[in-house]
Amino acid sequence: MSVRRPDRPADRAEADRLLDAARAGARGTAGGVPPDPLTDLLAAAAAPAGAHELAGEGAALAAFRAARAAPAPTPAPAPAPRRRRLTARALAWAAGVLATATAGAAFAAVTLERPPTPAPSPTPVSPGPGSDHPDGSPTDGTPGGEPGGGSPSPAPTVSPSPAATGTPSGAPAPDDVAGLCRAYLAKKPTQRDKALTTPGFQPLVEAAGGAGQVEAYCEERAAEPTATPDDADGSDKSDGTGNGSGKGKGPVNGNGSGNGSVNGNGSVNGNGPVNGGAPKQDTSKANGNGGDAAPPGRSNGSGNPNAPGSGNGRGSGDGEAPGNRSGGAPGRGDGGHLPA
Amino acid sequence: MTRELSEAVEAARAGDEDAFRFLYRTLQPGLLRYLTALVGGDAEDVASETWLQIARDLPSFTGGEFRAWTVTIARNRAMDHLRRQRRRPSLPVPVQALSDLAGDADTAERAGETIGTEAAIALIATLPQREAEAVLLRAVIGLDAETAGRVLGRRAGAVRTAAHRGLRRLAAMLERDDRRSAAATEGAPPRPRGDLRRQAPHAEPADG
Repeated sequence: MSVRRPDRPADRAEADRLLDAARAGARGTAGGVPPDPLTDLLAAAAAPAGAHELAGEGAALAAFRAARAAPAPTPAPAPAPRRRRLTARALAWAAGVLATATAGAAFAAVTLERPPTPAPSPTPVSPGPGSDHPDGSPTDGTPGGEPGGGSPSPAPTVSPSPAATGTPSGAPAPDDVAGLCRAYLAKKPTQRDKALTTPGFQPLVEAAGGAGQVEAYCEERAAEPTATPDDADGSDKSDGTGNGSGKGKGPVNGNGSGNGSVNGNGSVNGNGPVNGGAPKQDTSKANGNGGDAAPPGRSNGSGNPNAPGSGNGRGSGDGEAPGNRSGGAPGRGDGGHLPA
Repeated sequence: MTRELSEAVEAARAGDEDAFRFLYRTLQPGLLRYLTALVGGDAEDVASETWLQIARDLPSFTGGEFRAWTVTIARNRAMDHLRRQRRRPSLPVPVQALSDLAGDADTAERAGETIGTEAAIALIATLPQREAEAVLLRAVIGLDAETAGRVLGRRAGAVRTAAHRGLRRLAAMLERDDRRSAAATEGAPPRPRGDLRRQAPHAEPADG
């Protein structure tokens, strides 16, 4: 079949020999006729440089001079740049987690130290980290955000956001004052004055310009569209249900969500995801449509938060409002797992 | 040679421009040929990028085989280039071109006498990429199998096997050229690609 076979490398050792010979420059040693086409091919591939191959010398030298003039701050060796990128990303991630954890712990500490106030429940939607206080008779998930009824407890552990409160004024509370106003108006008249003496209501007092002005101030604010039901058709009967759940996992992340619905002449749905790192942040969203389930209302809450370390808070509240309004809001808070 | 090279590396790191020029003249041909097999006509551009990085990162070179260090940079630049082009790095030359090249009378003639460097690199570039890289790193860059394995991220044994296969394949191509020219002189019909296909089982069929 084959007339003539050129020498082929019989094994790897032979191949190694050929490859090494190529580098050593075996060509031409046979003088004229090359002994083996393969050897010749390899020798040609390893031949000395042609002039055109060195055309980039000037540019390379310029690069060399430039590098000497301004040495790179962090000269990166070529191999394994990917790993470094990965490490950097991991470091950034860890730093983010640490920052979040620190913020959560700080907030938890603040919450724990806060004096027992009638809890401006709807506004400071406090996520998990706060759920550690003892017997936190959670006002979570109370429709109408009614803190007064059952629980003058410390700040709500997981207050399921305005939406869960069942207030048709589902718009996120713009600031503390609006929430304080609602809390204030939710109180019985006999309790109002007393409430204003607590530190928690001081922002409201200041905003109103004095303790005596608060009522007028809040009523004025309540007249604003965001604080009033969209549909006030006079029906005074509504059923409100609210669900609030909050989860705080360690001091790192806190999640809270609340759902509230009011049936009667409307329904309110709200979802409030809350991030633990930003206590003031209230990202709840609610669509309100009729149904005045706003305060006053009453809520009964029970909570069984465990001691710090790992806290689970579960609260269920039933709110009953005058005028046949009723709202039920089970709230669940689970959080405050402090690093053991 | 190796000692000369390492002395030049030290001098260049100290800022000696002549030493850097020596490094360039010594290493650039091999790098350029290796890059030609990897990225084809863009080899000059990639080689420029490579030398830019070599000049910049020279202070961070911590010893070891300088050829391997430079060829690793070149290979990374080539892979980046190919990634930019969204092109697969393997088999840069289609098999059809392979048979055309191998069947070229000039190639055969040159192979029989004195093959040019470019033709030799072009022929090696027709190998599957693993084999082509193994052959080039061993024969052209001048690395041993262990060092080439480190550059390629493979074991030395795998590099030896790939180089061996590549050489066998190259020998088969050359033989085929040789036989074709011999058959042409005798007037007998040349054997078409069947022989090549048997010798190169990894290659795609030339035509459907």
